[in-house]
Amino acid sequence: MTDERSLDDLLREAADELRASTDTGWQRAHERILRGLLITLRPSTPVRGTSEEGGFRVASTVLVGLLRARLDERSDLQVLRVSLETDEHDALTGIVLAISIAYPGAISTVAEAAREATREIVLQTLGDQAEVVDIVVADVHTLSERDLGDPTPT
Amino acid sequence: MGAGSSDAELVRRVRLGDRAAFEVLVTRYGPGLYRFGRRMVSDDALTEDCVQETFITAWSGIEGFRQESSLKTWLFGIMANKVRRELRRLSTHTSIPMEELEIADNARTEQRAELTGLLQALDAALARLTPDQRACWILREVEHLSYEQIAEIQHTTPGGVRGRLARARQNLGRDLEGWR
Repeated sequence: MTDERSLDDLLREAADELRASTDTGWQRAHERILRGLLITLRPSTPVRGTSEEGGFRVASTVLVGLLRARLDERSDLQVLRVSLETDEHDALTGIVLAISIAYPGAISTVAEAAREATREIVLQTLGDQAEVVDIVVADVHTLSERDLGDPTPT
Repeated sequence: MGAGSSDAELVRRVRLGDRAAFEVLVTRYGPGLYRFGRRMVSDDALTEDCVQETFITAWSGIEGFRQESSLKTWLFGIMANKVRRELRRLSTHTSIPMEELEIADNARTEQRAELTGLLQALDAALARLTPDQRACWILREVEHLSYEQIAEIQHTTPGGVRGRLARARQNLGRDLEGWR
């Protein structure tokens, strides 16, 4: 019994040491992995835009990223999902934005603000209005201390 | 958003294309994935490739993560698949059955110089386990994953994991006898 216990202790100590260690290889690999990710493109679909010079295409991931960046500025909502709908010519026909709203909050006011911000981004990016912007309030969340302005210095 | 953000919050942001959020996940889970891979394939370059491919797969395929398992389990599952592919390739090229594939001691020279005595001994003992035993022991004892999570990663059953862990523990105990 004593031997069994000491083997448990030994293996636990060894596992703890292994967990606490960081391989030198990882330190070297970290930067390379981050650089590799910068040039890795995600699957996306083209969305047609228009300008005075003619038509162009924007990757759906770019439009979604711009929407996220814009709506991230608001502390009263979080974007959960963005679905883009396009026709056979890649023209944007609609956007479905699933959001979570900070509780307590005025749902209709926040949803309308999200719709307006979405319309603005689409207009700026594609040069045209989205025909339909559907807002789905899929969740509510409470604000973190940081969002509320935690007065504790860090 | 930063190092203290929850996995769920980071995944939400990654799904919307936030690379900064993904970098936090790389920093959070990269060391563990590397530690696991390094002890499975015994080669820095191969390990780095496996970890990089794991994160590229995760970045490209985050929509496929249904959150039925934890993010950690999902990432280790991807990594374990990459590792198994490399072990199969190594086994084929060296004509050594995968179950008997052991890690050459001299492959660890650089690493050993920086490890404590016990860690060196553990590394050598782990290298003598079969890949399945080694994977199960690391995932359980070092990464603290449950039997169910390990079974998902290793494509087996919780009972299978329990058996491999018992054999791993027995073999490690024999090899580390001098440290008791």
